[in-house]
Amino acid sequence: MLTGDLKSKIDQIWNAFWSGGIANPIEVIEQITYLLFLRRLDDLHTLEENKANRLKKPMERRIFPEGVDVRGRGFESLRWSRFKNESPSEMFAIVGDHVFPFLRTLGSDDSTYAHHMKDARFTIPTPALLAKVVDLLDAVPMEDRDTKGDLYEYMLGKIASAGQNGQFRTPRHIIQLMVEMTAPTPTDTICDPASGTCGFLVAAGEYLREQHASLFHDAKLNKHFNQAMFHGYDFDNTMLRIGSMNMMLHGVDNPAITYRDSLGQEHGAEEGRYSLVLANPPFAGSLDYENVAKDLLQTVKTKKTELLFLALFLRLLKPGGRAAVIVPDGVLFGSSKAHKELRRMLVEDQKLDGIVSLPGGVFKPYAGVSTAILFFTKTNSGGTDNVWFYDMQADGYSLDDKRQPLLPEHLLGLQRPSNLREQLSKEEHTKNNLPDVLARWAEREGAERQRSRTEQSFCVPKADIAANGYDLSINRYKEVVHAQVQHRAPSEILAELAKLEDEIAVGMKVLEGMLK
Amino acid sequence: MNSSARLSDVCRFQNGGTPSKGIERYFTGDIPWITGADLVGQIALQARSFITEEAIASSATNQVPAGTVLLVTRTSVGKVAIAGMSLCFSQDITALTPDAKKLSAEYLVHFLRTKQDHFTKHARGATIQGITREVVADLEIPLPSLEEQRRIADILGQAETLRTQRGQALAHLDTLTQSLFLDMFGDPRSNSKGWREAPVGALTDCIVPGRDKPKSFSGGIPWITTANLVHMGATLPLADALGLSQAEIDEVRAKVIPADSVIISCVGDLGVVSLAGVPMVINQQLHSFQCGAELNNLFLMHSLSFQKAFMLAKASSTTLPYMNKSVCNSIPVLVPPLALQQTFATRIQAIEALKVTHRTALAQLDALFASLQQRAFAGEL
Repeated sequence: MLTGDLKSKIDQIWNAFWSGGIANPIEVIEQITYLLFLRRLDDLHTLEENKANRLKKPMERRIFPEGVDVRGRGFESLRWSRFKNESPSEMFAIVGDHVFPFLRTLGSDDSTYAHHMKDARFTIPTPALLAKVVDLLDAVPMEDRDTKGDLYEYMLGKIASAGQNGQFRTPRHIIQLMVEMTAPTPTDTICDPASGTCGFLVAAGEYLREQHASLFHDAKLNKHFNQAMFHGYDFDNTMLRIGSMNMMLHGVDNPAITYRDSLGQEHGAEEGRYSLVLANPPFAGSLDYENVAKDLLQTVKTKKTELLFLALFLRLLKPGGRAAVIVPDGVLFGSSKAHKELRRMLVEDQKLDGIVSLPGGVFKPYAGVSTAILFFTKTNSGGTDNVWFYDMQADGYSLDDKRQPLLPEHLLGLQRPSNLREQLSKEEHTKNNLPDVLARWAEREGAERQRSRTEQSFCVPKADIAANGYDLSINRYKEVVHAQVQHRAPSEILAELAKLEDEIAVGMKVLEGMLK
Repeated sequence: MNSSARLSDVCRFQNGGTPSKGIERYFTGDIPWITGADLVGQIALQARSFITEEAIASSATNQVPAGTVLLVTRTSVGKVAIAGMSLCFSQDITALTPDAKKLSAEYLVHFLRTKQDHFTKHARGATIQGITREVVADLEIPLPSLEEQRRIADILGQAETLRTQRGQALAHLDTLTQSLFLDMFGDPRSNSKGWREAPVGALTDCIVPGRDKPKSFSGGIPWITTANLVHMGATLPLADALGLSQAEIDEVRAKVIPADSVIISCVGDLGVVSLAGVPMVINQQLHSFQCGAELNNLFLMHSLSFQKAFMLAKASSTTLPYMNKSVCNSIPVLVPPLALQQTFATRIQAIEALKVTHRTALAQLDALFASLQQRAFAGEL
């Protein structure tokens, strides 16, 4: 966890950028990312140096080469630990004219992060700001994996609170819920084809660390975790950089965070590769047919991005692979041919496991659209028998633009069955449904089957869904309980009216008398 | 002619305050503490918070006795009430204690009420509007004898009471229509009387409006949107309503719905129901039913008004709740014998006629009160 002290340090860095003239939060985080990366390079280099010294051998892998760069400055002086001690103007010249050009050449190294540095641009405007930021960053401890991951997440949170580009950020508790419900295992290969800041992949990694800690003792699994488990695609270079940095700071050595226009490029090599897809793809908006990958159009002929993404998930998954994805409600009840066909495919050809209807304000303040989480398994041979529905009414935060927490921090978010935290009381449940969603999801093959359709969750047999034209909106199946209204008899009301009428008549006489 | 005085010369002013909300024990006492929002009606009798003596000592709030005049000077500026008990109050409120030898509290209350416009005009503030102490202190209040003040306060009080009672009578009539329905037919949601039940679509014809919005409005057939609907009444075009010609209607393939159709809103504010007063064209957010041989339109309108929960539950939504044609047509209605429905309709019409009379009476009482108020403080009563 982050301490208040550390948070205020980060806030200071942020303020320094704002008052220094960089107001775009994405740009701030990008510049911080570069600087953090430089600091890490320096640390790695130091590590190698120490190793070489101890073994009395030449360094195996030099990050900063020997000698001088093209402009005649020694590579040694480009290290964080060296330039941080220079005067601001000197530091500014070194970083701008030497360090960044060096950074851009790092691409030859085959790690993901270095790859995304190839078009790094230094945009800090003044020596004073650079010196201040370097100073502040230097004071932030980056040794502990937990801290640095949380720290970066905290910064990413600022992108959201700054109110711009927030659509990149799915609320973390919703991500955790989806990860928890799909329960990734150490052998999964996980993909997010619209990865943004890599929130889903990070959460999946954290889940594995917590639930399957032993995987790191198994060389094969460990290698899989670091080299082959995580795949994220995005077509925004800045997001790729931020996303891969997020992964790195959460201790994943070499995730595949790569540039890919998920809807536009053919998926030949990707098809059927993944056993788990977690995503919150961008909704709405339409593409032109010519810009859509042909293989997706074969699955479903549509221009709508949210449908194309669903088709994409089906392509990416290997048989037996599962998916938890956020879709706008329109996908669940839309009446176009493509909508219906896609839903039919999910129900008839694959196995639709469940639908969690999210409360309307989850993505506020960016969007007020109603959304739902769709859970399905690719089988290519059907298998849907009952679909589990949950009507989530509250996620622990107010559903207005402020999104304030409604409960103390320890009662927010999830609660695993293994967690010893006390059960939420009934009243607390009305403010935070997440633990209940998880508990009931676990029972979906058992006790949940017995629930009536007037409850918060229930199961609907496939035949019912087919009979309703594969409409998947929860309202279609939910039944309403009628509260008996207490009403007064008309005679009673009439009697009262008559009494009032008399009083008014008397009152009028009194007033008349007063005015005489 | 009577004399007059500056309000600050005949009144003592006291400010309010808020004990620190961070200290929970301050709010565990038994002394009522009110804010502007607690001032409903003419006498302040209810509080939502209760504070301790310690809280009073450590904050700016003051305790005043029952009978003190309370004026809201921040947020909803100009609300006036008399304290019905000894209480404390927030900084939104200023307490006025009149000099008992010169000024009656009831008279002061009525006087402050007439200054509502003055207060609103002087309210200042970027986000929270408020008036300064001076705006109130500088008011010039006519000061007839105490006896005369009491007479004026009594007259205004009496007129006010009549006005309230008339308003209550009108509210009773509103509940009467619903009560009558439930009494005759039972609750349509549970069908407690066991009538035949059917989806509305099976008993009515429905006209679905054209999807396109007309490009011009040059004719005489009214164009009606949700905002124009009179809930539970007859919708008539307003004087400045848009109208379409037959050519314009044909162009967007819209249809004219006949008078007496039942109209229901099906986007956003679901379940606003009304009757078409004249033939009209409705926009695509509305839906209309033409009753067949088994339903009376007034009865149908009232039936639909009970089904809001059903509509909300069945509506789909992306940003706004929305009922499509099949959802609209699936709303369940009871089908009692037509004769009984017609009896209901006749009774409803009688109640509606009564309401019109009551509204007229209420308007007259309002005028009477305003007239008395004006005369009272001009020394002409």
